[in-house]
Amino acid sequence: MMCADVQQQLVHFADGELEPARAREIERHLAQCAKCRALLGALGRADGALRALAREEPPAEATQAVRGALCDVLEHEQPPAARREIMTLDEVAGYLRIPIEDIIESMGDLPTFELAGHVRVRRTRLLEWIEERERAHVGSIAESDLARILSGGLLPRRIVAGRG
Amino acid sequence: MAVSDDELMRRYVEGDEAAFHMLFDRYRALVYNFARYMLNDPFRAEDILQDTFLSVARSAPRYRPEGRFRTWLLRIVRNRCLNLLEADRARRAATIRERPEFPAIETSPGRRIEAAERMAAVREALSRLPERQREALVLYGFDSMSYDEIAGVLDVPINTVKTIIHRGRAALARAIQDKEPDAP
Repeated sequence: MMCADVQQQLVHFADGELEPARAREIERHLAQCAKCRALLGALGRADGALRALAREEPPAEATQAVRGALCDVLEHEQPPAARREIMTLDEVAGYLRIPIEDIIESMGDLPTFELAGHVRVRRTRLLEWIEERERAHVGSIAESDLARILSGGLLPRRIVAGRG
Repeated sequence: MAVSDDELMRRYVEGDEAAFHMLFDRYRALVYNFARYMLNDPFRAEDILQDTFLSVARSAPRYRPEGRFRTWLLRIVRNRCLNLLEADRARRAATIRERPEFPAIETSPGRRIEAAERMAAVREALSRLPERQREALVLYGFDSMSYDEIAGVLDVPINTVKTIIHRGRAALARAIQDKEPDAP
């Protein structure tokens, strides 16, 4: 086989796509031809470099800028039908109908997490947290407060139903 | 097992902001590199990265979960890049200019090129390839992307994709070999 023939089929050879007889011919040529052997090695290194290129991370500042822009969009342009699972502290305050200052004071207790540098609360986790706290104290809630809580859909009904 | 892209999109549409950030983390490198090598411009690739994910967030309610999120995402990237390249061509028709993004590297004679130099050689070689070959090769470099999926992104038959990629890989191999002066 001539070098030109081998080099034309080298990618197929490297990928194992050739018929066994043809692959053996190329193997025999490679055993004798340092130039084609070197090209096969270069092909392997090119593939490795391509894989590395595809994994290169964007610059950290660019990633941070995109996250910031995303946070704006995700907060202010959320699809109207969406029921927000991730809440800002303002939304938690509105949801619980208490001042934001009280929320900030309770930060140590609240199940918060950080998302792109912002403090957030997951709705399902917040409801669990409320349930844990209220289970112990539900008996002492005044009727007027209970009505307010229920109207806000805050307290799970099964807890209220179990109240004596 | 990792949560599927479609599931993350569903969670986002239902209000889970964190799900969208997971999608961003999963695909930011792919989107950035695909745009970077399509445009031969790392700075404009950053703009594409932002535009693409903002566009995906805004159009999420219209997304149809058919297990092809990555293809859909990359088509958005590609369309944006093609629009920019088209605008470039129109500008170049008026003012001819050259702007090499990946300057040629010098290798010391008598030694094999090191990994960083090899990467530079591949970048340079990529920047010289035809547009279609370049975009196909970057997608090929991304783990687990099949010929079928690449064909879906580029909107060409699968055999065409195979041919483009085979030729591109051979061209890159020759470029690397040329940078290794002690090679036979």
